[in-house]
Formats: sequence, structure tokens, C-alpha cells
Amino acid sequence: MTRPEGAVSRRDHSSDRHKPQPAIDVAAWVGNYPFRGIINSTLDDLRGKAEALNMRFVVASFDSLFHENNLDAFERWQETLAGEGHLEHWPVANPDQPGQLRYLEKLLDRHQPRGLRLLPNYHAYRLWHPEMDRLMAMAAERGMIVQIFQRIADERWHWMLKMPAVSREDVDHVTSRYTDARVIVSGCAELAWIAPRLRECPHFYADISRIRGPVLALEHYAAIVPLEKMVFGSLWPIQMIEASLWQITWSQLTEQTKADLLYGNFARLTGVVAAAA
Amino acid sequence: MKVPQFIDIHTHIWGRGITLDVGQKKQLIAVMDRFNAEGFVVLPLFGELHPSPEEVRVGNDETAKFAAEDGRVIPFVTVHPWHDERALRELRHRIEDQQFAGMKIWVSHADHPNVFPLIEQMIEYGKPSLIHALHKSVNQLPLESDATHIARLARRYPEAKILMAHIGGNFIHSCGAIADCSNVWTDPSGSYCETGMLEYAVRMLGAGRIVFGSDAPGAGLINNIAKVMAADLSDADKHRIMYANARELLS
Repeated sequence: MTRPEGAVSRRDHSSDRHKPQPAIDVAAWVGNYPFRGIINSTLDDLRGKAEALNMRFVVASFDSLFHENNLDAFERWQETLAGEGHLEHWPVANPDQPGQLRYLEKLLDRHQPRGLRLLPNYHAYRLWHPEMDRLMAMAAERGMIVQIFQRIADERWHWMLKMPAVSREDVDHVTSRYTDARVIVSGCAELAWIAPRLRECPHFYADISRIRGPVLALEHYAAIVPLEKMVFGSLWPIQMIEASLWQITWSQLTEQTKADLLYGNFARLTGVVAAAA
Repeated sequence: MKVPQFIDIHTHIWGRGITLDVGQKKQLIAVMDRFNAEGFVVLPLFGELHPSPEEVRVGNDETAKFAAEDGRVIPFVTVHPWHDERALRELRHRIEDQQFAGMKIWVSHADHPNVFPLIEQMIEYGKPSLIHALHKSVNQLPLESDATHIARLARRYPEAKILMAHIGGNFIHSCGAIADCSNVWTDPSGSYCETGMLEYAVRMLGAGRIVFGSDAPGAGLINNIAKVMAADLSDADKHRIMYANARELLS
């Protein structure tokens, strides 16, 4: 595989770095992370980041992941987040929870989020669960994005969080069965395995939230994955936003490629040009 | 953010068996050029968890060569404590004959008696010993140190200068374990860029005991710089971590 022409620029962009480029972080969370107290992780802190970094965020609440009545948590947070123009709030769905999809359908019609999140490892189901067809159909009818997190945290760091990553087989199943679905896979630490499906499936994207290597990672991946199918995500507040962001802004990718990674690719996926752009 | 003046205390060259991975070495040079590193400690990793004496020797040879080629390279000698007297000979050769600046131990319990003669020798040299440590709730490697092993070694040898790599993995566990060991420094190198990590480490250890490291080329450099430069710390503390502490520790 050759490096895409024009994807890497040798120009020194240091003088451009004073004004942050607009960005959409597709992988942020709000609320209290149950396994660790995290400093500077309140909504006020997120507002400050949005302002300082010229950034919008797609968020779900930790409550909507960890509470058994997860969709109630979405409703509560929806009230809290009303009027937060820089935040886009998505529910976490659990198709293994009996009766959940009926409730989810009402919720989607009431609030019309542009996407929903799935964390099958936390909710103990596989992506070939019998309710997945119905869930994917609900999302497709509404033009919604289904965001699947392979990991949100390193399972090695907490004695109650021995949570393996969502398997490649699960992700391959989704991209094999729902080839036209709008899907973002988040939290992959390595991307080569996913590259063929990124190329094949027109609306299948992945984020960079857990890409931390090798050195000069995005330039490395420019030769391996289609960067036009990659989007920016941070996993804030578990991880630092800048650790993901600076991998883009300090790379020697072209300015257009950086802008696409930061917001253009997501805007194309959603069919909406983001306000931040 | 301007890239600060920095010394990277934790980078690698790798071998495939006893053959240097030249591509990785080039990547390391490229990133240090781009971000204008003042210096970087090179730790050879040749062989697997239990390298042979030959793999260790070739790794240290390649590191010596690298230091001769590039004035920014600060060579550390890798030894495997389970090589007993051969490890001690390798250590002495590299420090006394080739002016290596420190010692690196990868996977080996830091408080095992096999480590003691190596540390005693390093005390004589007055140079730092960097020891890999990761506390994990799953997948702990056999013989892999965590911060409690480091702390026991540090208490046995209060004159030793010990550098615990990777902030010990789980930073809350690790900072607690080494908090009262003033002869232990730590580097936050590696792949995980957790919010609050550096702030917590500074609160528990003081900024003077944290030394910037990246784990390049396996891990990125800029995301590791972000751990420090985007943390809620004073500019003075950031400078100490990125540069001044390493300078002092290596002097």
C-alpha cells in the first residue's frame, strides 16, 4: 500500500498553531466515572475545553453506561444538557436488556439524537445478539450513527474493571452484515485490522481515541488506513483531550487532512456541516 | 503550545533476535529531530522477556554505536539480572569502558537478590537504574515488577538512584507505593494518557521526582509531551519534569 498522495506535508506549520482548528470530539463522556475520581472533569471543565480548544463534543453519560436503567439516565442527562450548544448527547443502548428497544424507540423519536452508543463488553452481549437486527434497523430508519466502543479504558488498571476489548469478530460481524450502516468504531489501539472494512463499507468510520503509537502514528497510518474514514475522539475525561488532538495538529499531514480528521469526516458522515466548522 | 526544551529519559532501539530493527531506529531519530530533543536515553530491547547474554550484548553494542553516531543519545546499559556474574561484567564494561550513563532492567522483580549486586555497583558509580514496572489487575507478566517491588528495593538501598518506568502502570497504586521513597523517580512514558495522572504524581511525589519519558518509537512522542504540557501544573513544574530533573539525575 502506498502513502496517499498529498496526505503528508513537509511544510512547517508552527505559525498556524496559535488559533485552534475547529474540531468535533466524537468520543467524550460526562458524569462521574465510577472507577476513579478524575480531576477537572465537570461540565464546567468541558465548557472550558470547548472554548479553549474551539471544539464540540459528542457525549454520553457514564450513568447511561453503568446504570441498569440506562435509558432513564439518558433522559435525566438530556435535561441537564439542554442548551449546551457545544455538546451533542447520545444514549447508550443495551439490546440485551429485556424491553429496552421499545423504550429506546420512544426515546429516539422524542429526542432525535444523531447517534447511539453500544458497549457490548460492558453489557455482556455479542454483536450478533438477536435484537441487533432490530436496533440497527431503528438506527437506519432514522439515519442515525451507531458507535461501537472497542474499549474506553485499559482493563489492567482497576481490579473491578477486568473488561476485555470488544473482539474483532464482533466488529467484523457488524460491518459484514450491515454494510450500509453508519457506524463508528471507537477506542481501537491499533487500526491495520480494520482498514479493509473501512475501505469497503461506505459509512463505516473509526476514531483515533486510543491510538498512541507507534511514534508519528497518524503519518504511519496514512499508509495503512484511509484517513478520510477516520474521526477525532479523545475519551475525555478518562484520557486527556490534548493527547489525541496534538497527534493530529502536530503531524505533518496536510492542513486539509487535519481539518477532515478534526471535523470534516464526521460532518460528511452525519450529512451536516458542523457549526464549529 | 510550544514544544518545550526536553530530555526524553525512556526510548528504545529494538532487535529482532540479534539484528537491529533499523527502521525503528530511523523513526526514533526522525521524531527527535522534528521535536528538537536536547537528549534522549536509549534503552536497547533485544530478545524477549528472557534475553540471552548474546542478545543483551548485541543490544548494548548497538546502543554504543548509536551514541557514537548521534550526540543526543544517552546510552543506558541493559542487563538481565538472571545472568548473574555475566550481567555484572556487562554492566562494568559498558559503564567503565564506554561511559554509559545508567542501567536498565526490564522484566525482573526489582527486589530479587539477583538484582542486588547490580544495584550495589550502580551505587558505586552514582548513576541511575531504570527499572520497568507495571501494576496490572490482569495479564501481569511473570517476574514483572510493580511499584511495591521498586519500593522494597529502594528501602534496602536508600543511596541508589532508582527510576521506576511507566509511572508503574496504575499511577494511583504506584505513587502510593513509592511516595515515601525519596530515592525513586518515575517517568510517565507509554501509551496511556490519563487525565489527572501528572497532577496526582506531583501531589504525591513532588515535581522533582518525575522525569519526562515517551517510550518511543513504540509509543508516540507528542501524546507523551501532552501528558505534561496539558496537565494542570505550573510552568516551573513542567520545566522540571520535561528537562531539569533529567539533567540533574543524569549529571
